[in-house]
Amino acid sequence: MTRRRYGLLADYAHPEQLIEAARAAREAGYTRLEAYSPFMLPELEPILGQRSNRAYWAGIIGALIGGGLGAAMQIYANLSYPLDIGGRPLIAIQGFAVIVFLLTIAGGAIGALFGLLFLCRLPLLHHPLFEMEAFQRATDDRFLLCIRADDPLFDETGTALWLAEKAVSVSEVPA
Amino acid sequence: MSRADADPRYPGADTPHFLPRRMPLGEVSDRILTIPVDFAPYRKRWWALFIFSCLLLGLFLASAVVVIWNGVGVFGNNSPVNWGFPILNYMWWLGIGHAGTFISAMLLLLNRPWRNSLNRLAELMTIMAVACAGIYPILHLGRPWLFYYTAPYPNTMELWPQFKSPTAWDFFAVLGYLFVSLIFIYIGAIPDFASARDHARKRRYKVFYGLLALGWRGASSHWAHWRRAYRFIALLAVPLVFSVSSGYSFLLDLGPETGWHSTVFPPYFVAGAIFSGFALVIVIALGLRRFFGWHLLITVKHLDVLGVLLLASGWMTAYGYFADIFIAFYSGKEHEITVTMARLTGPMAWTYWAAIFFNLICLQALWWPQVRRNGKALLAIAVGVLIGMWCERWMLIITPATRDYLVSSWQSYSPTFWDWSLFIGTFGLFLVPFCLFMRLLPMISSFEVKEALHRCRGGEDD
Repeated sequence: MTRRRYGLLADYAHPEQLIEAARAAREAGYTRLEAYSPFMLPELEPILGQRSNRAYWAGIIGALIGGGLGAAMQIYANLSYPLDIGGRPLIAIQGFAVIVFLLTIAGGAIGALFGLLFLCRLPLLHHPLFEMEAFQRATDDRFLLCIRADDPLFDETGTALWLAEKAVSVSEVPA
Repeated sequence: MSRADADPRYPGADTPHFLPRRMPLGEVSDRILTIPVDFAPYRKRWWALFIFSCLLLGLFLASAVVVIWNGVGVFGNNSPVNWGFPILNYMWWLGIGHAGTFISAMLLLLNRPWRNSLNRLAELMTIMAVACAGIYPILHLGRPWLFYYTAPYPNTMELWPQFKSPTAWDFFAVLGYLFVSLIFIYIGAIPDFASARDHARKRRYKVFYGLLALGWRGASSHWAHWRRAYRFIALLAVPLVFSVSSGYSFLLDLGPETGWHSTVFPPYFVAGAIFSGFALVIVIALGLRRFFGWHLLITVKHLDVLGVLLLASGWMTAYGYFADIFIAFYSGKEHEITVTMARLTGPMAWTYWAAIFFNLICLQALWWPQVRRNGKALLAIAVGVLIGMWCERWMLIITPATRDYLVSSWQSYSPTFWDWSLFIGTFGLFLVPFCLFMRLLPMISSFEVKEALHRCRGGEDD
């Protein structure tokens, strides 16, 4: 029985090398891999199949809930305690629009925040990668590619050799 | 430190983000992220600023206690000037907040990479300014401990706020604005918290930033969601800027006061808000630039472009001055003209002419690039604009109230000692958290600067 590991981590000095490596890994047939970079590289999304608009949808749903609650609250309050002021309409769309608008935006922001946290599975207190020396610079100036051990094609020596061709260093991530 | 770094006249490179093209990514982290974890070089200056801010905060707290203990009678407000300093300062602070959102959200959507050196400090300014503004209506209530009555909540009295009133709108506007700004700055700072976590050597910093970073790893799947969420909130924040300051211009429509009903008010107030906010962004950017020696990150070109924005928003505000006066005379209403004449020539005319002097005349110096690129001159003009905008609020809010419909009820207004001390104290309320942010947060968004550097190099990264 071998020891448990999370995967193999390859370290690149430049974003282009990471993008290149990610593309090569996909072409070689690896499916369970993830790239890490200090800033966003949208070029990686189509390569790694991560193009997803779910964060937008989370925001849109939040906005609709916020706006809906805003309208419902105002309509309910006015029906529950009707105030006839100079015969003005009880349900005044123009008057209610401001709060509906403000709550739509607040709801959208809250939806986007919680959607983001849910989609990224955050907060997460610990992750095997945090133990890695090489990963310390993932948020600084290094670009990393991790092929997970549960990938069907994963083979410790083979994958490590394949990654080492271009990377600055390759290290094994214990689980 | 290189020579160029030490030289405040360092011109800024000819790139879309104004930073040197070849600046290494690691250097960005070194300049920004090592500050909170290795604060020793700045400690003395920081303590001086912090103690000064604490004194101001103390003044604020003392004044607030006096106001709460004695009631709002300690303010100079009285009939017919029912809205004095509290509303004036509320609008002044709230307006200032708007430029932060404008810089971070609008310029993000317009894809202006130079914004990445300024967005963090501008957003922090927004949050503190909105907090300073928000405290005023609460203290002005008379019984501040019942301020939660303004919130809609199910209660045994079956009372609801009057949702058709601008005062209820205002509650939602200020709170919603604060909330959205907090979410926006937090999402925008998560990757930087992660960088700070990985840069920290001491355990307590690792834990502090680790908790704030929520376990961010910079995975590309995370970035894919992050950039959409961030842009989505930016897209929401832009209309929010316009709605909040038009919202508080509607507050003035509440009363039958002459001079508060011009239809130019909503756009006029939006422009004025962004204008005064840019002025404070300039002051803070210049301050931090000097404090942390960030001449390479906040370049002369940044100052130049901020100067241009100040000039442009100043002219938009100036349109408001002209339109307001023109409409008053064009209306032909006698009382409207009386009020306008009081603004122009009455005992409080100094506020009108001070606003014109600072916001219109002095501002024109910014047409000259030498002025925009000179830190001291730009600072002087920006501080002038802050004073001018404060005077503008005075002439808009207080002066008309002194000229009631009946001459017998004309009455002057003078702020009391506690009016002034509370106002000066709010600077402490602004500065104390700001000092703590300077101490603990990366004040420039390092990952966005890195991204701008990478995009501009376009493939030939080294």
